[in-house]
Amino acid sequence: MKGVWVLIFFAVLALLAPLLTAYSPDQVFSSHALQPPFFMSGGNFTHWLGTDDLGRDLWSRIVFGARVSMGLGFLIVAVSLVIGGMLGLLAGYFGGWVDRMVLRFVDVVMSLPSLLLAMVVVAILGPGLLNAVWAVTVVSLPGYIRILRAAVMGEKSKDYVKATESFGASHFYILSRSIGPNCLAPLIVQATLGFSDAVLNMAALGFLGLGAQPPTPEWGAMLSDSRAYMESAWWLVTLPGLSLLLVVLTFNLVGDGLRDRLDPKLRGL
Amino acid sequence: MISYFLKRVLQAIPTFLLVSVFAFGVIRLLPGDPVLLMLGERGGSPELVAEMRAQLGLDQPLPVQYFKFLKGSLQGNFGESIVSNRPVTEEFFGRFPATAELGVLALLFAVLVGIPLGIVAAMMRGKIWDRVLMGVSLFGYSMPIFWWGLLMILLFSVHLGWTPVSGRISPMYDVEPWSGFLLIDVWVRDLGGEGFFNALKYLILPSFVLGTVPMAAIARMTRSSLLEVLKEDYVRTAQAKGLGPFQVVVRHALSNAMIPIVTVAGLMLGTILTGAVLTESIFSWPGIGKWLVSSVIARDYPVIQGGILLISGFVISINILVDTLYLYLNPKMREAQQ
Repeated sequence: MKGVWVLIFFAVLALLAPLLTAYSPDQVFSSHALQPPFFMSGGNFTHWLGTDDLGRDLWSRIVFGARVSMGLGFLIVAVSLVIGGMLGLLAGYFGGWVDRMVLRFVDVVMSLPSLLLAMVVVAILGPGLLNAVWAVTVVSLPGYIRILRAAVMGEKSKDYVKATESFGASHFYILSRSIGPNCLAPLIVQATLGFSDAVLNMAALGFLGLGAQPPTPEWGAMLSDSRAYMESAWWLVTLPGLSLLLVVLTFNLVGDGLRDRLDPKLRGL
Repeated sequence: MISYFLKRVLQAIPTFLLVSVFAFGVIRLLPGDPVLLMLGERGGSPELVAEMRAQLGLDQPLPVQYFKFLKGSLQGNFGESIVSNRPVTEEFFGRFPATAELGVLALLFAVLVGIPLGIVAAMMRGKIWDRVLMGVSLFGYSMPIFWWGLLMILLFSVHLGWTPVSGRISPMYDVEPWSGFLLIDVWVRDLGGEGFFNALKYLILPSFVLGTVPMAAIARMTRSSLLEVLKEDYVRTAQAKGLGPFQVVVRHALSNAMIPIVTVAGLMLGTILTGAVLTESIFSWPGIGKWLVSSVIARDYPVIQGGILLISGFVISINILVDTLYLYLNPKMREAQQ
């Protein structure tokens, strides 16, 4: 599938970060501050992508940034998959007041644009990486709830579920053994596309100064710092953003591909 | 259609009440004393703390606090900003036109560029132009817009010097607000063409940046929706009559393909508001988004509470309007409703 190789590349960067870098992302080489990448005059291979304003190695910061972005992306997707999936499953299966309550929650969350709601959650919890994770998780829940609720409602009335009910299976058995597995396909697609949203939202909060705090090597926060050096150090502006774009792009590409394979009806949408 | 509209309005009331409970809760969910948190490093004497607590109504029982809050909110009174000491409503509506002007222009750009791109891609399905255009739109769709904004500033403002880096209009012009839309106000205030082009120069880059993601989404939707419609019999009939491909698409297929496109364009409201927060921060655009970011950083809770209610009220209303409009545009849905 298209994009999988780029994804594996970033996953390897994130996993093997300490092996792939010569310096810690926080190590300061003040005499080498704002050194350009190797192919420009003044650049060399000791810091092949150059350094930032404090003289920290940009390659190290980007590689460890992959760890932060992708690690937190997985965390957010995992938590929202469990909570959102559970709520969607219950709402779709039981209907009635459970469904109405869950849908109300979805309505409330969706009445504020995602980043604004995440900002409000940060305003309650205070800025910081972990609080931003919670904020982005809350914001991403409606997507999972709605997808799974719709899938469960579609499956619920099918004959195989009725058959299982007829021999006296418990709700738990029906949900976990017959309905659940048949709803996995849309959930997998949602998780893949949700990953790119999570990474983007985390970076956006970092950029606004509400997520990762210095000196954490987070791509959004790095971009925010780079603004002061826009005229003198283009590499600080371009490279962290390019990494972010590539990660988001490949997850969208893989998500589209998965959707086409798992659910041909939605092809091309 | 009117009954549908009224039904939607009634359904929105409980949602809005829940949002108000959430907004009310914001200040009370805080770990620690909100008054001390808000005063922060600014500090304050015990009298000031007591006065502020009374001003925020925090010295009363919770249900009383909530009903006072709700009553105030319904009357458009959200209290005063702690930073500026001005009413939140006044601050909000003072900044709203700047965001609206930016958003409207961004959406206009997204629609006017996105739909033609999607049409071209659909007409050239599978050919090189289709692939190039869809590749570009996938890039646009995945773009972190705060980075995209920085790149555009780097290229057009820093290197080429074509557009200004930040603000809405040159400080040379002193435009007293009339509509709040600078592109209109320069005419009202007799600054004419020169002022108009000056304001446009400031507006063009931010609205392009803000419009990029919606543009890509609309292009993708136009292509897939058009491809769906082009399979229909009536399109084959039109082709059989000997009409050229352009006429078939624009006169016959597009009107039916428009329905999903309108839906996507409606969904773009959230994307645009989220994007506005980032775009305004990058371009120092004096709108709602930048104001909210600085309020969150300054822990200006009355502004955050008021902002939540005003923005969610705005989003809910626009959604109801778009859905009603949709019903009006789509006869099939209209019959289903009746």
